Amino acid sequence: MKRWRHHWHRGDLGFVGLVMGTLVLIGLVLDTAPTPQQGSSWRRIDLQQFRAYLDEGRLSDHEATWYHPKEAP
Amino acid sequence: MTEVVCELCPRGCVIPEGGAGDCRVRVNIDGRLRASTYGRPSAMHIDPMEKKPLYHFHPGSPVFSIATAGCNLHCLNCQNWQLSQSGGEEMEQIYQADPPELVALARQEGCESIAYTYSDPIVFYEYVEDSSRLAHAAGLNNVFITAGYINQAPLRRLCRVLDASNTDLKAFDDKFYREVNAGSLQPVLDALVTFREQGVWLEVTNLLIPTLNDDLAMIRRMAKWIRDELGEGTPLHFSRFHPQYRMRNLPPTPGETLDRARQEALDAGLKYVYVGNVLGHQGNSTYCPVDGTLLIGRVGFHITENNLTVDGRCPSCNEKIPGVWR
Repeated sequence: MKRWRHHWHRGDLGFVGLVMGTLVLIGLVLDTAPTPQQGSSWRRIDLQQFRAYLDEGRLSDHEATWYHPKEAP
Repeated sequence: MTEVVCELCPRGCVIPEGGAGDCRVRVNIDGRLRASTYGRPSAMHIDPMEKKPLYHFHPGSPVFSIATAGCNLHCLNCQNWQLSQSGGEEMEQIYQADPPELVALARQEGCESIAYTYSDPIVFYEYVEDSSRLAHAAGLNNVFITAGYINQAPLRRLCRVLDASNTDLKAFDDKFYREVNAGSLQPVLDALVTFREQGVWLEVTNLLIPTLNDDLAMIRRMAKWIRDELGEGTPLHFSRFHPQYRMRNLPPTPGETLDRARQEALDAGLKYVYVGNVLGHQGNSTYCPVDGTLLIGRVGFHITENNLTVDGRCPSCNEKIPGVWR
C-alpha cells in the first residue's frame, strides 16, 4: 500500500492562511453584529428611495407621537 | 444633527437624522420623527374573527384586516417576515388608505371591526389610534393583534380606543425572548395586565415550538400566571408551529405536544384553552367549563354551530361565558 505523505509547500501555507483569515473575519462579523438593545438600536435606510416614496405619496411624512429630541450631553 | 429618542417601545431607539428605528418605519427626517407608514398599509384583507384568533369576541364576524411594513421584534420563525422585516421604502405593494378611507372601506365591505394585525401594529401606532377613533364614531370595533412589546404610557392611551386584543405570549421565558424574538418578557407581561385592567377584551396566543418553548413545567407556570394575573376566563390559544423563515431546522409541533400543553393549562385552572393551526382538532371548539356542553363548534376558521344563548350563556346550565358576543 502506498503511504500518503504530505509535503508542505508555500502554496499550501497560503491557502491555509486564507482559510484561517476568512474564519477569523466571519467570527469578527458575527461578534460585532448589532443586537437589538435598549437605547442603542437604529437602522440605516435607503434615504434616496425613502424620499422618492415620500414625494410620490407612497409613504407618509405624518409626525409620530411618543418621541423627544435627544438632549446634548 | 438632531437625534431623537423614540419612546414607543422598550427599545428606546436613539435615531440620528436620516435613520430609522429598529422597527424600520419610524424615521428621523430633519430632527422630527415620522410615522412613515401612516395611512399606507401593505396588506388589506377581510378575515373571519377566528383567524386573529379571537374566539370570544363577535364570533363569525368579518374583520377588515390591515398591516403596514415594519415590526419591533425580529422573530426567527416569523410567518409574515416579508412584511414585518422590511421598511416602507422596500415594499412594492402599498395602498393609500388614510383613516377616513380605511373606515369607509371597512363599512363598504360589511365588516363590523377593523383588525390591526399581521406585522405588529405597535409600529404604526398613530395610524391605529386615529383610525380607531374614527371607527368607533362609525360604530366599528377595533381589534389589536400584537406581541405586546410596547411601553406602558402609549399602551394606556391606545387602550381607550381598542375593543379587543389577541396578544402573543411567545414563551414564559426571558431567554427565549432574547434569543428567538430579539425582545424581552417583562414588557409583554405588563402589556397583558394593562389590557385586562383597561377593559380591552383579551385573548392570549402561545405558539409552541418543539424543543424551544414546549417544556410542560414552563407551560404550567405560564398558565398559572395567566390565571392569577388575567383571570381564569382568559382564553389561551396554543398554536402549532410550522418551520419557516430562519427556523426551518425544526419540525412542526407534534399533535401530542399541543394536547399535553392544553391539558396542563386546563389542569392549572384556565377554563378556555384552544388548539390552533390543526384542522378539525377538538380544541378548536368552545365547551362549557361546568357541564362540557359544546357551545361553539369550529372547523378551522369556520363556525359549524353556535349554541350560546343571546346573552352568552350555556344553554344547558346557564353558566355565563366570558366574552363579547354581540
